[in-house]
Amino acid sequence: MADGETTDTELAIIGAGPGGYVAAIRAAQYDLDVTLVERDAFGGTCLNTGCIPSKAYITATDIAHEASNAELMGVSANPEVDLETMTEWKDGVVDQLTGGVEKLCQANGVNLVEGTARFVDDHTLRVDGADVESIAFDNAIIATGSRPIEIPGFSYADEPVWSSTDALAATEIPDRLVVVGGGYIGMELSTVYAKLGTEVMVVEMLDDILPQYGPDITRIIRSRAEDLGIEFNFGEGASEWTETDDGIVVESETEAGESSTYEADNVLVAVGRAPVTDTLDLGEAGIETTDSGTIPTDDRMRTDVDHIFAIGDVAGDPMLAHAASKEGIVAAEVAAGEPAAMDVQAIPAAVFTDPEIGTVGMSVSEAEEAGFEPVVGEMPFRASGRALTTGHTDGFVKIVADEESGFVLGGQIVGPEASELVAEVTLAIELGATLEDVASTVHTHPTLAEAVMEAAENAAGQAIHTMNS
Amino acid sequence: MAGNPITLPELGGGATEGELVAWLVEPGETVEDDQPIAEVETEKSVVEVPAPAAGTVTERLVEAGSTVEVGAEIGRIEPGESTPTDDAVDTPAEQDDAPADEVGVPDERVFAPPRVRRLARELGVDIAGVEGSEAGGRIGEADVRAAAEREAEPEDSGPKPFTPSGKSAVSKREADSDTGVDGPKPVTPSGEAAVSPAGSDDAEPAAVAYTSQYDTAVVNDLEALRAELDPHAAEQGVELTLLPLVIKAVIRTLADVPALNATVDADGTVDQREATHVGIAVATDDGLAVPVVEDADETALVDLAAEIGDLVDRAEAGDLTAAEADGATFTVTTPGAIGDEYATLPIEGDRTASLTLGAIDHRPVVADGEVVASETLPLSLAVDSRVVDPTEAAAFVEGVVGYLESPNRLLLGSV
Ligand SMILES: Cc1cc2nc3c(=O)[nH]c(=O)nc-3n(C[C@H](O)[C@H](O)[C@H](O)COP(=O)(O)OP(=O)(O)OC[C@H]3O[C@@H](n4cnc5c(N)ncnc54)[C@H](O)[C@@H]3O)c2cc1C
Repeated sequence: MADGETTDTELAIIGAGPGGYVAAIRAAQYDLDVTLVERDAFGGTCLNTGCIPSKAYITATDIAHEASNAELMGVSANPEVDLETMTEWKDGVVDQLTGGVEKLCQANGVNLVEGTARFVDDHTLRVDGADVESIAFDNAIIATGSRPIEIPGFSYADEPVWSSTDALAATEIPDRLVVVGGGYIGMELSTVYAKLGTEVMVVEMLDDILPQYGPDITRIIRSRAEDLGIEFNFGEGASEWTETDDGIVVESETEAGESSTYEADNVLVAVGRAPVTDTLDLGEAGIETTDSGTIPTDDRMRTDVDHIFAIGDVAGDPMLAHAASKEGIVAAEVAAGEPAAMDVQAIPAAVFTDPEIGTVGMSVSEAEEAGFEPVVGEMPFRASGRALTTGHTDGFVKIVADEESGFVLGGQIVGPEASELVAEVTLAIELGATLEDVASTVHTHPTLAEAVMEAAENAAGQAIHTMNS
Repeated sequence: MAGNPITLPELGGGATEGELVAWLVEPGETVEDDQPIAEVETEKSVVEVPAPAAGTVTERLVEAGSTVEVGAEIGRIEPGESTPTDDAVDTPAEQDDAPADEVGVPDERVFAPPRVRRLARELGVDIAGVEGSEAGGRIGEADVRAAAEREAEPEDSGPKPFTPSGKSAVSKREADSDTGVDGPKPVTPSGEAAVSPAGSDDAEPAAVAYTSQYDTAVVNDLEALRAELDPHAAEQGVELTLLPLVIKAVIRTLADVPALNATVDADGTVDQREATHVGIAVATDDGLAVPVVEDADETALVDLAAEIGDLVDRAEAGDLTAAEADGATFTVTTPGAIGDEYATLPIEGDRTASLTLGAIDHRPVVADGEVVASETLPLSLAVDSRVVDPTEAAAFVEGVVGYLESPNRLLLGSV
């Protein structure tokens, strides 16, 4: 690669998030010559400002909270939180992972280019800020991810206004925080700050948190959040903020025009994320986006231009890291001529609130809509021995199956380690396993995972530790 | 709207409508005259719709899965050797570049593990159309491989009505049950069994009152004749199975008992037919297909064998044209299509009778006071009792059995 010159590559990938870097490594494994362009940081949103840093803070603040709330178990403590050290530790985790991504790419022979890419035509990229000026490609994958949406009146350029990225890089713990948006990012970060001792006020336009989940799930999360001191203000949209001597005042309005004010130190805006497609000159390659900016793809992750793929957050919902990685694997394999397709039967989703949520596949009503006659098995965690020993018994495992065939169709889990437990239900769905298969599998005792087995038994009317209705 | 209309042609078998199960072309695709552009399924068969002219298909007006009436407009074509219009290429919703042989991902849930789904794509099998043989209907690797084989080489691996030894239809099923894999079953588009197995009590009621006759022919001599003629047929490049010989016997008997070679319309008016067009019902993945041998009574045995072989292969592959499945005056159902021994099917279409062949097998037969194992062929005849007298039905069965047991008699009236 010479300075300012054109480099030829079989596969150019724009963006090194969990979509792009995974695609790069898989394509290299199939012996494609791969060039990966990243303008900011390897690992993308997920590793730098998303999943990983948020989970680091969730765990750290949870330890502090648990330690100071374990008198019942005979443990009394008043842990001191040093935010600077916590942040250093989080940064260390991030660095270790992003460094690992870079090394893995290099070890697999992926050419890494640090710069900002955009399309010149359907076979050429221009790169700004790098030695390589342009890249001529046979195939390309667009994996440029998403960015936080701004709302009118709240510019992230202003110090007191936080995006999720700012909330994960704070230098001081605010006394009072207004969180605009009760989606999963808003709820996770509200929990972090509540456990750090911040007075958290959530302002949400809708009348409940976590709109993609049913009331059986949100009720548990909301009531625990209230116990942590989080205050909910539903049916209100944040309209503006003003600086005062003592911090800021955030104003909100109901649809009827009634306004309320909240005194705070910072306001975190977490109202969703928008795909990064506006800076790519996609039109030069003949690619159009939808009105919301996402790139339409087929089941091979191909855009309308068949040698250009789009994966991850730019390809639309679900905007989740593991979806991005799976789509990246599919795109890379299709580019390598393999018979891959995005044919997964279900993509699990987790919310790392307290307690956690893990869901996959169909709920009962979705199963009914899809034409199945579903049965549901349930196991409340209060009947789980292991849950009792963790001190966390809120929540349940629900497993949904087709009555006739027994095939597992979905699972909804709320409770300790729900994000881990959902993996078993996901595997059952992908394999076409039945309730009997899950119920007949021996699970280690005492574990939370036994609850999945018990729920499957319950669906068949054969649970041991709960009464079968 | 650019181009000329493409309308749904006659589908044969008296069908007035069909389900457009798949489009075979994309808008913007150039096609040749008569090139198949869509598949339409009627109650009896899958029919390919040919392009009315060479040109570019500009529009598809009905979606796959819709029911379409004969004569309705299903799409548009711009005649001539034109190239795709800009419209077709630029519309974002259209995935114009997917390789033609690529199978898509079903919208609905599929009960098959990831590696089996990938294998299906690798083998070019649409997994949505594969019936699972595992518990609950789960699709396994063997199901996908079997579907791929059926699609790839129907002439070699599909069930044949009869083979030279006369055993194939039976031994195939036995082989399958040995490996625990179900043999091909007749299925309707909805995936239900199209016809109930012999002896089951949920047999579909006939649309008209019909009566049945059963008998068994001892076919040792027929098999001997076949074995003698086969090398000579082979010289002409034709494999001689027992089925054409059985059809010969049927045709000869129809000449003797013409009441069964007739059609009847809805108000009961009988049309005694001069020509003898024999429909041969075979089981395919998409249900029963009934290819028709036209003027079978005027066709020499070796030509009959060649024509039946070709029609049956193509019926199993789903490649019949509408005309080829139309106009039967009498139907013979082959043993792959329904139970092993005796069974009566509701009579197809406007015909007055249908003969169902059981599987040829060694069965005990009493000869000269001793029980001996003989090659036997079970026969089941159903007749429309409004039109055919029971004595005529009995005469027909007796006649067929007579020819099958003394096949040299066929020579007397041979064409
Ligand atoms: C606070 C937070 C918490 C989250 N938690 C979770 C979670 O727990 N689980 C989960 O599954 N998901 C989580 N997510 C979502 C997850 O981070 C995203 O779904 C995931 O990162 C999407 O991956 P991607 O590869 O599509 O894009 P990204 O990770 O956004 O990566 C895109 C990359 O492309 C680069 N790029 C953009 N434009 C260009 C250009 N023109 N040239 C070169 N490079 C470019 C960007 O710099 C970026 O590095 C979270 C997100 C946030 C914000």
